[in-house]
Amino acid sequence: MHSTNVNILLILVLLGIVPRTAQSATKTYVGSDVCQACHEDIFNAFQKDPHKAVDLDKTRGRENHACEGCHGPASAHLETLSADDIVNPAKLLASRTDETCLACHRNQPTHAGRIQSGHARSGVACTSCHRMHQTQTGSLVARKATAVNQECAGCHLSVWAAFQRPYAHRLPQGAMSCTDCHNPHGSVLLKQVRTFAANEPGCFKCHSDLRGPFTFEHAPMRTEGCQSCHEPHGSANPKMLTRAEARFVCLECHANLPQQEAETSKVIGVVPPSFHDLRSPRYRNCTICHQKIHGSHVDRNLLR
Amino acid sequence: MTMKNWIWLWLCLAVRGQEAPRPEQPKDQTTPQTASQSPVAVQEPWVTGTLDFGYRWRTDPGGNANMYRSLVDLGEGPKLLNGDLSFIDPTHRWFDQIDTRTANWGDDPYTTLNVAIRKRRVYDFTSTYRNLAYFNNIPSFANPLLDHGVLSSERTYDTRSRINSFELTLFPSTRIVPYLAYDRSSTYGNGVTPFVSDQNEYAVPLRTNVFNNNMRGGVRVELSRYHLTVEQGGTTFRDDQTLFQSPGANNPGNRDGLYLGTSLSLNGLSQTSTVRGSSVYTKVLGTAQPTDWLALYGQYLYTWPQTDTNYQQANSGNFVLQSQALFFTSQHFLLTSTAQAPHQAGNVGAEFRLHPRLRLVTSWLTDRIHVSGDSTGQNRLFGSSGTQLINVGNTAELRNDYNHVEGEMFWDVTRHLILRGGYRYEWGRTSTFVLPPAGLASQDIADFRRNVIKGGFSYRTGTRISVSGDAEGAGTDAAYFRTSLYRYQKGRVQGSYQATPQLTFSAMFSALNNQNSAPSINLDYFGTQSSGTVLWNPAATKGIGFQGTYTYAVVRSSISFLVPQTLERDKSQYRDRGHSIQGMLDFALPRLGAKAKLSAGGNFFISSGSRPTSYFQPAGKLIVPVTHVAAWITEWAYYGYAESFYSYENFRTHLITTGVRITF
Repeated sequence: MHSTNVNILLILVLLGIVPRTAQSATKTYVGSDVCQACHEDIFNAFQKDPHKAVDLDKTRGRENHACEGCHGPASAHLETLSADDIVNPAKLLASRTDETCLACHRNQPTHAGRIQSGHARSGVACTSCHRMHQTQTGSLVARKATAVNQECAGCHLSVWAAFQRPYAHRLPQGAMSCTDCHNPHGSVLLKQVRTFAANEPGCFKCHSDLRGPFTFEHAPMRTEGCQSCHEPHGSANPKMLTRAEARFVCLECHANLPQQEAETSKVIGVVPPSFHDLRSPRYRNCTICHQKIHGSHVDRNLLR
Repeated sequence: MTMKNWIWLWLCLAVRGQEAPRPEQPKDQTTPQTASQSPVAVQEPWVTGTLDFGYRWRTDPGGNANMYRSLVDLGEGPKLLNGDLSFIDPTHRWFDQIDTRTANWGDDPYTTLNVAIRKRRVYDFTSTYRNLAYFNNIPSFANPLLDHGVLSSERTYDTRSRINSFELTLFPSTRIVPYLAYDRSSTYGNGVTPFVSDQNEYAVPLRTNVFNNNMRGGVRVELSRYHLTVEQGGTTFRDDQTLFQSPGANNPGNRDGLYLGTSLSLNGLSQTSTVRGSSVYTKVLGTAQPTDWLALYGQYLYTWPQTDTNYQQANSGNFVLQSQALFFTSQHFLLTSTAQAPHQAGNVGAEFRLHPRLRLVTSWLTDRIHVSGDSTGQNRLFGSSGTQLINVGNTAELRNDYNHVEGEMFWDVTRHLILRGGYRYEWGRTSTFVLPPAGLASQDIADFRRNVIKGGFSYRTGTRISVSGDAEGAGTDAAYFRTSLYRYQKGRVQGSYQATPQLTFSAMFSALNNQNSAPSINLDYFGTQSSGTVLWNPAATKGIGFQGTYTYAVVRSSISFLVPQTLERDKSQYRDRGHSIQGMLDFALPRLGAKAKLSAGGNFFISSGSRPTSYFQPAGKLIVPVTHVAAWITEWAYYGYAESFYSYENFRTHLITTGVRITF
């Protein structure tokens, strides 16, 4: 009998039916104007905050609940004036903070792929980047490219260091920001890379001539993407290549004999014909001839 | 109206904004101000922000000027260095606020302008303009003339890219949110690229013009527990490229010597390639939170780009068709081709909150693309033995399917500690063929499977200590390429410690180890990145602040490959050990004014290994207030680049900029 009860309790817990807390039932909303009495500086600054719109949202019954929309009903806090009696999303577990924000923001287009997002998995809460009461600029998050980059570099130290290498996208100069290529909320693509035209890699927004489709494709472009050959953040190698000389970028893949397929688990890329004599400078930079290396509309060998 | 006119208008608005704003005459001054009206906004000036402009001098680059242009490319002259202005409409009639951010006007290689206009609960409009110069003229180590002291590259570009984005979001109600967006990018300019004819290649001038338009519109339906976004879009694309050489000129090409006793050369060329493309795409995204313990999520993305190409080539000189041992003196090559690539991707996911402290996140993703193309053409070769007509026709295809399923459990052990662990299975297949078969690579097919185990933790106590880490390991018996991730382990640990409110230390370490021990591959890759940073920002009265980061990154890679001319096995070894330092030290100069500041620091990179490089960018900046709205700004920057193996690439130069910052 005892074990049956335990099992039932376990099932109820798994289904989430057991009431988590009765605490919230005793709390009530008091309205933003009441918050103003003690938190006047925040209240005044909040007049420029985008979340001020919540105070005017009659449709969802949130009118005059902008503060309590995130901080929860404040009646108990009003009585005790204790910080323990009010929710502070900045001090919650990341998942709880995100729940608070996503209650309203779940469907914004920038949130596509949130579930796979590295930030969500690593416990980086919305409030890590979006500062709710920072209303100096009327924006909760960095907008200027240099400010965005500074925000991201605060955690992604080694990535930012890569941009200091000689061949790099021009982020340190403020011409681009991290969010031009990455969606910090998530994406269907790996590394939270932004999409272009629904599901193509965001690289094609600027490098549109490389999108194709090409009559003659170069397979890595479609399978493993630009980073097969390029270091997108920065490199000491020209063209941001992964190797110091272009020939090694190519020959590290193009080194299979057709009869070796069984041994090499059928990896793609056969060795070039023997007239490619690497002792001659002509053949040391493959893209001098195979200039349409990303794909060609004309030539199967990507020569033109 | 051109972009320059817009900038003039923008500057005029800013200057106009400096005038004292006329006080708003309330229609009814007896009306009491309600709590929802901003007591702050109406008292604020209607323009705020800063505007930096000045003049830049540059010393002539010592060393290789083309390399300087390829990497830095900053020039002399008057500049609008930076602008960050916000305009407020006190009447809130047409807009609440306009935010503008701009930088680097005056023929700089990267010019940007961002404008955001919003009226609360009515609309949001954002636009971005970028004008980026791409100059690339890096002497090629593969240039056959390099030994003769010719440092020119056979592939150079001097192009500009203009990228515009506009997006308008409307708020007719709180539940229905339609939006429209338009993006346009263009790249145009000149360059040099080889014209490749069998057994020789000839560097010739290039003209390029690429345009891409992207229009999209959609609607977001936002209900309390269910959300839906539907977006439809389309692109148009144009890519025109021309290679040319005036008739009569003799271009010997890269071949050093005769071919079967004959000198190969190019005497005239006209090659044009015109590509026209378009695509339609659809995006459907839905989320639902039917209960407190369950969140559902899904999206479907579909696009179908296609291109049509017309290619024309007429060249004269001495050429050879090696496969038929045929010499000819001129060639007319006409070809048309088409390609299309239906591409669909989708994912669904669910987050189960099994317990207040336990979450399960599962997802499934698929991404499938099928590229197919055809080309037909005629190649006429004219020689001493007559005319030969070669009909050209190819059919090509590439298919790639990628899928993964994933499950990950998150356990909130305490208020400060989260543990997580999960499993992902990835699989896919890629196949490619070109018909009729020719050469060694007419058909390829490869499978891909990978089992991935992963785990991690994050520990955070308030804002003082934060540590997180994750690790991932995978095994497989099938990968697409020799260099692909095969049997790999990777991990990352990251932490920060706020010793005092003014002093913070952060550090991170990441590593990736990837091995493929197949006898013909022998891939051995190991890379690490270690970084440490200090942020010291004492109270303003101390007058000093410092931020510095040091990063050490190592890549060690070794893989077997076949030497094409002998088919002997050799090793490709790549080593890169890079040290990066970024730092900036700020000093307040109270004797020169309340906001006077001197900053000194910069970026320093030095590496050893396969391409030893040093790239130093020290910089200093002085800001001295002159009046309450104007400050004198002066910047010095140095760019020094040095290569151990390719010393002809080295350059160094100084830049000095001085100007005024106006604060509104």
